[in-house]
Amino acid sequence: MKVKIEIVIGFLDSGKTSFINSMLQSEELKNEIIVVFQDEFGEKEIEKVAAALGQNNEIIVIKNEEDKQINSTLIKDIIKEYAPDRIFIEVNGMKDSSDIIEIFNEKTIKNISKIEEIVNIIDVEKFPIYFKNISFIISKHIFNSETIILNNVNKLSKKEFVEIQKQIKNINETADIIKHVSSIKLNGVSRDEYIEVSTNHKFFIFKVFVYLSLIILAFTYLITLSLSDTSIYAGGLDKFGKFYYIFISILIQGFPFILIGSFVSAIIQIYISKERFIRLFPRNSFLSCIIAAFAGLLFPICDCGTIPVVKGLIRKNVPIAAGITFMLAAPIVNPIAIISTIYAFQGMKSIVIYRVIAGIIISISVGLIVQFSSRKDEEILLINENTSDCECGFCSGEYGIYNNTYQKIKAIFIHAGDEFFNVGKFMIIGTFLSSIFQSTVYADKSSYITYNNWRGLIEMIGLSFLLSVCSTSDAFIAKGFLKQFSINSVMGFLVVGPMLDIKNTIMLFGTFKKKFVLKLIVTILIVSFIYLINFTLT
Amino acid sequence: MKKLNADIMLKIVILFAISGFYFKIIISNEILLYVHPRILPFIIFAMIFMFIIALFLVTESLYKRKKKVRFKSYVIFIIPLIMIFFMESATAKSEIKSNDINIPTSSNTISNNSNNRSATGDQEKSIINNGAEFELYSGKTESDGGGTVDKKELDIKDNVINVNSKNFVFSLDEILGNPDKYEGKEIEITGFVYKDKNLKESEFIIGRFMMVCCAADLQIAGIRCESNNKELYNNDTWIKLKGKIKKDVFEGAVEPIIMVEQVEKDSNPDTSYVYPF
Repeated sequence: MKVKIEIVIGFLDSGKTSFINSMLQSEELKNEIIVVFQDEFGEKEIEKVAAALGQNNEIIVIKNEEDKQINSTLIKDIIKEYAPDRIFIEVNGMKDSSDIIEIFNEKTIKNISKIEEIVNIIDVEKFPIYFKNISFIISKHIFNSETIILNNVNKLSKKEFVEIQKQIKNINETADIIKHVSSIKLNGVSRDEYIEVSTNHKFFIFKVFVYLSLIILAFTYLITLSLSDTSIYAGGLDKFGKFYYIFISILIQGFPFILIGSFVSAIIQIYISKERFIRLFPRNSFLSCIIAAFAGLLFPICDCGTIPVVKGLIRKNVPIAAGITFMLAAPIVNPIAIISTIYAFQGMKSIVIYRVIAGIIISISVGLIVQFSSRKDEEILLINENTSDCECGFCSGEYGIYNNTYQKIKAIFIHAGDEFFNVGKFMIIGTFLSSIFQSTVYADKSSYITYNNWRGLIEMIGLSFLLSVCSTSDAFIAKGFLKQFSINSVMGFLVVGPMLDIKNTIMLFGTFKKKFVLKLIVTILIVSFIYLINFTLT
Repeated sequence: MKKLNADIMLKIVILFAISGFYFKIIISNEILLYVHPRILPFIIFAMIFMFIIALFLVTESLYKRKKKVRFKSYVIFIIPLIMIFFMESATAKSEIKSNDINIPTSSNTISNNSNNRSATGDQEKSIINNGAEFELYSGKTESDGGGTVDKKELDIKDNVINVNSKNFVFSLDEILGNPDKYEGKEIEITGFVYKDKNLKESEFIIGRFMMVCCAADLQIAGIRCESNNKELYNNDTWIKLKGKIKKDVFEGAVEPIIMVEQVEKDSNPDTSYVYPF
């Protein structure tokens, strides 16, 4: 029989001991030899009340007074000495929960014990403060836990409580959330009652249901299509075939770029420390923006590939202005995009030059505006489960833990994979939508009658948003509009299109906070509109 | 370990599936129906690296213990994979009948598409879709898909200009850019028939699909032809055509047109796409 390990993690006074006490009273733990290892001790004591309740178990409390490291030898010693059925380990919240879990993955330990449960105890009253200051420690705890116990819930308003639940669910969708309800003293024994917070569960089931039915729908649709050779369905197949063709071809060429972006992001994450990065970038925001704008020349990747890179940059505390500038400018200064513009507008070199210049000016101004309108160290990235996913230590900012090259390479690959899955899903949704548009909305020019300049510009920007053509090929489409639309409007298509389209908007919403994305979009639209409307080709 | 780590398992399956799909379409050369050859190295990179990531995840799954699955992100990846699976088997079925059935079907839809997109007053209208026209540009290279051909001159044999899939875009640029220079010259060209509602009864366009980046931007590039022959071929028939270049005025602009002298069905056409660069 393997020894069952229960890891209880939480900050001082969050109620770890009370929770263990209530666990000790449960039916399941009857007739067991239990060791409680306390790494830190608050006011509460473990109550050896077993006899009183007829539990008939033996409880041994070990206090870590010598401040020993919790490691495999310690666990082995405990098991050797007491031969327990179950060990509760009360872990100080400031410790890295991943390190503790890692101990039990070691082979020799795995043979004699297994983790039964990982519980994170949170005092909701203090949660917001902790979350603000040491969010990466807390996120890690929440991510690693299977059960999360919330204490002091009644001291919060309902709204605050819901907010906290949402934050927890953001980090760990699958954990059971349990709240402490009441604590009664009975015959000198305190009994605590915990109940599960269940609303989210129903929602989760609902979500699974929705996704499953989506799959089934797609499945049956395709089966009918592939089985029916009759001409009645041929029209449907034709339409679907066209959509499929566009959808798959964009995915085929988009995946490699996202993967490259993810690799760049992973390499930044693992090989370059925060301090070094900050030193690399000039202090002056304007200067760093200019560098960022031209950095796109070195990354010949489409707009979808830049988002993971920017994510990695911002995680490394690169100024927002520089990150955003890079993200917006890269698809335009991308060498392949420039070449394709040259080919499309042959003999009209000025358009190529203006496209690049307008792209750089707009992205730098948007970058700076967004930077100055955000509070300092405002968190703009979504809290993402995958930042704390890896147990490699790289993500938590502890740089240089592993010097082993194999481990570093492995970490790069695994990170890149995570990032790929993370960004890829939004890319798929975006591609899906834009393929629908591309196969139904045509750039039929006769239906666009231009009344005046600004209206044409708005039309062009809207069209480029809907069509979401890759920046490397949009020039060929834009060319066709030259006759009908003013040069400013076509510029709108060429410059705003790569910065903003359905595909990357959805990817942005998946990466950054909603408020930030909205601000970014509005800024891009306003700045580029003002710039392009006053723009004259000389 | 409690149970198999479903989260990682799903990732592994998806990565292997995508990488396998890439492998399949690269081997069968189907990849060129979807993307420009320039993207090919990136695709090979993605194929290999996804495979390696999946292998690393296999080793990882041995020690990570964790979690119920978060379905939703994987569903999104699975949907396209299911679509690919079905469509691949569907095209495989029809491929038995004719090797190229794949292209005519897609051409149908795309020509409809470009029909709608087609320009109505562009200088060199003959290349249908929006701005696919090129002026002569010395030293311009054209890739035939392998990125090898570098031609600066038309392929002229016995005073006949020869246009095939290898030099299609370049030759067209040259001819469309210099209607005066090539007036009266004999031309031999292969391509498919495309009719547009803007054209006269006796006119059609001989064209090929041109790809800039991927199938989403597929356009028809071609040149206008006039034929006295009443029984014209239907849309999407691949033909071989011989004729003389003549100057003509189309919607207010001077542009060359081919006066068809001889036309025959191309029984074994080279249907590959053409690339502007």
